[in-house]
Amino acid sequence: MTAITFGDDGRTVSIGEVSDELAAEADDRLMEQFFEASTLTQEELLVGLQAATAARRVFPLCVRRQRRTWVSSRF
Amino acid sequence: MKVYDAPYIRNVALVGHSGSRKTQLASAMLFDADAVNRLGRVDEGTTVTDFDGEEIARRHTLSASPAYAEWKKTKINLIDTPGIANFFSDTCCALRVADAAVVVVDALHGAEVITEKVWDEAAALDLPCVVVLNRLDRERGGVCNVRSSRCRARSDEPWSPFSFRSASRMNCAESLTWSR
Repeated sequence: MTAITFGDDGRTVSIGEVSDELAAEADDRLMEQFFEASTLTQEELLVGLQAATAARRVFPLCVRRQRRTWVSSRF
Repeated sequence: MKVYDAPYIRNVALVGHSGSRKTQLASAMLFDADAVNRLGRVDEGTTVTDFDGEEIARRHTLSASPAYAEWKKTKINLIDTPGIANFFSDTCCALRVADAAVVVVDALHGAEVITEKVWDEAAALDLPCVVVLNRLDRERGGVCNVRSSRCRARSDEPWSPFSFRSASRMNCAESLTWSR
């Protein structure tokens, strides 16, 4: 998954992979896990992204063609 | 009828500008989730959520209508909403009862007037949002058309499903100010 991150000024943009830190920020337990192991498992990453989405810190973008839907089952 | 506990029920509103194919997306989601055994089509007037004669004749959703599907043991109540400005009040009503909003954007046209309005409404209600970029397979449709002008310099990026965020409350209309 690719992440586009907007800076605090709303203008600067960086593009990269969805980071463990991004997912961990939304959940204190995940953040502790991240500090201890400096990495998250795939499941933890998705849990973190779900929490971040619910908190309106992350906005997942799905793309869809006319016939097949790529709605990710992970969210 | 199966009874679901409250943690296993989600109300999701499909919102977006008129013609962004929200109803068709709802139909596809219902079909993929096996809620219906046939993929309804707006052109044929066979979708679940556009059942009114006027809606079928005009091929436009005129009022918010619900449909549900089960996905991973969770009941998803989809609320298909009108994208026409005249019926925007129904869209607002749907957002008020929704747990989350799916903002559907047409890849040919980018963020339009109602896209901005529903994003603002969702922000006012503090609703989580998922953006669906629709019709990417059309001749002139492409993420290159619809991505932020700020990101345009990075034309070689793989635009698979991705996430974006802002430290402050992000203005979708601004970040999705896409080239027309």
